[in-house]
This record gives sequence, structure tokens and C-alpha cells, in this order.
Amino acid sequence: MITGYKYLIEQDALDAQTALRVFYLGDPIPPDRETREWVDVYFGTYEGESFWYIVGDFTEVLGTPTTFNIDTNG
Amino acid sequence: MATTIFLVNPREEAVTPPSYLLDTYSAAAAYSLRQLKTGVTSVVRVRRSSDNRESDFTATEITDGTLTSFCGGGDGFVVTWYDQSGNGYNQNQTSATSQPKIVSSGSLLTLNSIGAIQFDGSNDYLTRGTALTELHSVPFSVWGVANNEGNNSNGQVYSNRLPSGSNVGTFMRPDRTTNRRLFNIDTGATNNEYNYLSTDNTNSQRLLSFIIDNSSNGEAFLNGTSQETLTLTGTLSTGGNFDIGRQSLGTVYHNGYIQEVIIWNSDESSNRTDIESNINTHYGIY
Repeated sequence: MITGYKYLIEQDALDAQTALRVFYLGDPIPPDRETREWVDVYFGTYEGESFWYIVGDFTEVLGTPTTFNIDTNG
Repeated sequence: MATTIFLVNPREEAVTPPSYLLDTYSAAAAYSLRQLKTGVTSVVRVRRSSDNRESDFTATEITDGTLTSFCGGGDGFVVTWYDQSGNGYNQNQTSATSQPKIVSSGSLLTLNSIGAIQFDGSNDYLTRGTALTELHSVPFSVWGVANNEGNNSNGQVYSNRLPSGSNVGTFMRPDRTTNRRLFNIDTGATNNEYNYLSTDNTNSQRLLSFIIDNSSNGEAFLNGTSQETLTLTGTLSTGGNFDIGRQSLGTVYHNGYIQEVIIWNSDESSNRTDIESNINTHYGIY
């Protein structure tokens, strides 16, 4: 079970990623930093549904997170 | 009474530079918080939590307090684990929340009292962003020092794996379950498993070794003791990603500490005991 944010449209996930980057790392990011994003955006599937998601609790920026399942392979 | 004084010119003692593991056994890729080769400077790049500033650190600066001073009373996260082989196969993580931790609340994280990188089992990993082609053909030899804090078989010291949806690739695991996986090579048609002799469901620090020779005969070792020997069935895959701390391009993450990963694209059987002795002398694993 993942705690985070699930998006059915990829651009919505990327917009959320950008919001977190700007909030936590600033904009623009200083050129001497190699950290470019605050979070990764992952692609997942579960029970035939495809989606993009962000892992973690970022209530301050994205609101209350949800919990959801993803198909795993391992 | 005459006094005779003999002046002796001070002679400088011949200075012998320290000899590091890779000075003797040149590797294809090597990651550690200790120095492994003469001439290596930075071994890790760290982001501090207080203001997200980043800095490179030598092995000495990790142990002499320079790193913890940089982090103040906060945390430090690994941005880059530099490849000490000279091949430039650095392992990076450019997303802050996926960076594994090296300093916690101003203290260096350790395993068995030696500096260690902590992976959270949730989303932490380091990646080269592409495969390590040295693992695409035999022979090769790999060593890892790690533990598993999760009561599971998810531990992934490293993997060199094709994209999600396929488990094809090579994997080194500090498994704690009855699966007993130490190393496996999944060729798609066959999952070649090199297992522990018995289950160790503890978070013990482990020296994991795997060697596969020119004839595809593979053998896994735990703390210098042979575990399982198997001739590889199938052909090693090409492509994929080389990641430390997760099943590359997948959803299985390592929960625990990793201290060292060294890879040779050669059969190091004849050097195995020397290499393991060098590693164990530093880490005191067994």
C-alpha cells in the first residue's frame, strides 16, 4: 500500500512535481546543486488501471495524501 | 677535555603510500565510503537538509567530522556515490526524497560502527540511469556489504535489470526469508537462483560475493563461505538499468544499510580470499 498522490493524467503529476520542487528547492535551483526535483513521478498499474503517482505526505503543498495499491514485481 | 659531537643528518624514512584494494585488483565499478584506490578524492556528494546545499566529501572527511559539521544538527542525504574505479560510473539521485541518508540529526549513520548509507525501503535508490554493460556477459565478480532491516526478501544491494514488467537481470540480495536469495540471474526463460544455505532472519551485516566464470559456472558466498554453485542456464540480458538500493526500474526497494559494492568484469576466483580479507579487515563482519 502506497501513501501519496495518484494521478490519471501524467501532466497533473508533473505539475504536482513542479509545485513541490518550487516549494522545497526554490526556483530557479542554484546551478551548483545536482538535486533537481523534490520527488520522483512513477508510473503504476493496479487491477488494469494505469496511473502516475508521487510517494509521500506533502500536505502543505498537495493536500492530504491517499493510500492506494500498485502492482509490484519482485 | 675535548668533546666530540657527532652530527647525524636526519634521513627521511622512505614513505610508502597506502595501498588500497583497487590498486592491486582493478575493478569495473566500485562504491564505498572508504577509499579504494590511490588518487581518489571525493567518494560521496551530500545534500544537507537545513538549506539543501550540496558538497563533496573524501573518505577522511566522512570520519573526521567534516561531513557532520557540514550537516549541522540536521540530516545529510546522498546525491552521488562516486565510482572509485576510474570508469566514471557514478550512482546518482537527483530527487531529494529518493536520496538515501548518510547523516541523521548530526550523526554519521553506521553499521557495525562503520559509516553506512541507509535506504528507507520506500523510495530511496541510486542509479546510473543506464545499464552496467560489464554485467551483460560472463565472467564477472561482485562484492557487497549490506544488511536488511526489513523482514523480507526485498533487499536489493544492487540490480541490473530490464524495465518494469520483466524481472530479467542480475540481483544481489540480503534476503531474510525462506526464499534464501543471495544472488539471482533471471534470463527470462530461467531464474537462476544462488541461495543461502540457510535462512538468516536477522539484520546482520553481511559480506555477499558472487563469481561467475568463463564457462558460466556461478558461485555465491556469504562472509567468505560458499553457499550455492550453479551453472547458468540461458543468456544474460542486455539493456536495463544499474541501480543500488532497489530493483532497478521496479517497485521493490532496499530497507537497510549498504556500505560497499564492487564489481569486476573478470573471474576473481583466484583473488577472492584476498579481496574478502581486505573487506572484512575494514568492516569486521565475521
